[in-house]
Amino acid sequence: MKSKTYTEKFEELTKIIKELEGTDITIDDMTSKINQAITLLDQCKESLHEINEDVNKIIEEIYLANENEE
Amino acid sequence: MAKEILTMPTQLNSIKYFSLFEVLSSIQNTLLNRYSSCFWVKAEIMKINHYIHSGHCYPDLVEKSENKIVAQTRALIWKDDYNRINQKFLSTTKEPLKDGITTLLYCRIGFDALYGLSLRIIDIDPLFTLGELQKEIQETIKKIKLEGLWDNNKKLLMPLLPKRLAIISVESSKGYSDFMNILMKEEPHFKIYTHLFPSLLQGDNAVESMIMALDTIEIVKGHFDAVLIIRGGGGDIGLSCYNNYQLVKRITTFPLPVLTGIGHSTNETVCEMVSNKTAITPTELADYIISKFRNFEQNLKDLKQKLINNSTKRLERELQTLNQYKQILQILDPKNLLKRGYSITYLDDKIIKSASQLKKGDQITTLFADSKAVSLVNDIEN
Repeated sequence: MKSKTYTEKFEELTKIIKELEGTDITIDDMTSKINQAITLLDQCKESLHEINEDVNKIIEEIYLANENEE
Repeated sequence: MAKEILTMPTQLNSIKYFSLFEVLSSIQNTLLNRYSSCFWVKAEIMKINHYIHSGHCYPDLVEKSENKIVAQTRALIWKDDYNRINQKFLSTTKEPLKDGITTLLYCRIGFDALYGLSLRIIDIDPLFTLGELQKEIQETIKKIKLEGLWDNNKKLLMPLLPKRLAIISVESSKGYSDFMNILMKEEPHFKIYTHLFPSLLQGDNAVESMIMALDTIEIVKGHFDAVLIIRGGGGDIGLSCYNNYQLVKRITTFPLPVLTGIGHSTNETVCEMVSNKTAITPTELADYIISKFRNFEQNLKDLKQKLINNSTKRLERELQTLNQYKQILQILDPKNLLKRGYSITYLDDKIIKSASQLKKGDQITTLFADSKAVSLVNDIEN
């Protein structure tokens, strides 16, 4: 199974948080929803961390290329 | 005034005859008596025929009507006259006396038994020729505009980075070396490629020579981004070729942008008017090319910086949002509410939101953060 992208996970997380903030949700559902949200949040953070590392690597390459030019 | 020669015919048997010299001398006498004074003549110098060794000039003069010669004669300018006239001519018209110009000549009739009829030129009015040259400029402009070619080369899109330049110039000229110095030495890392197509750049044969160079470049046009005509250090003399209709037309119909840097201080020539870009000097033209590369380089640097800044900012924003979500989740989590002293009440596993849901004697369960308690309802206050 293809793992979900950051954007997909983030959208899902946002949707759950909106549900939790509303009044429709029952307290019984809250615990499982919150657990689900926390799992998504952790995954998002991890993805973001990986993306950040990739971006930093690219930026470093750009700086290196600049130095070689000059 | 020629010497009066009274000639008597020679008698041989029954025939009287004259010698050729006698006949021609008689013609000379008659002509010189009739045309003794100087006068102004308008004529085109078809060939100037200046002999450097003797310094004398033997121009062929013609008058044309609808492109056909209707009158033609030889003329003669003695060395001293030539030097004086040419000097005056140069300083006024910025052109030397040369083939194909229309002139107003001050002359007298000459006739010689050996050389025949000729006009001896004593003076030339340079202002008249200047006017004729101006007329040529106006005519070229008018014709090119009439043919709808005027903007053609200007409309060609100049490449963002003109990296491959076809140069029409003279290798030994100052203009060419000025141009190459700037291009190659100031910013060698731009690696601009140039190829020289040698050509005359001023004077009578320059038109044909430059058109030939352009023809050659057109054959290999796929290898070039632009054509540059570079001339410098030649002063203002001999630039009328840049007003020539054929050359101007070749530029306006050329498939690549033509740029000029022909270094002069007089009025703009028609070639410069129709070219894609014109610079006053070869140096200025080189600066223009270089500046395109410098600007692009700066743009790239700016974009790189923007890319770095924007991506970093975006990631920071995303992280902030995630942290906000975490806070919201903590606030919403009922466990945390229970920890702060709130509790939840159930009746038969259903959450009780109001006392009106209960009646006396119901057994309810109260959930705390760490435990629960079971109680009986004693009283209900509404």
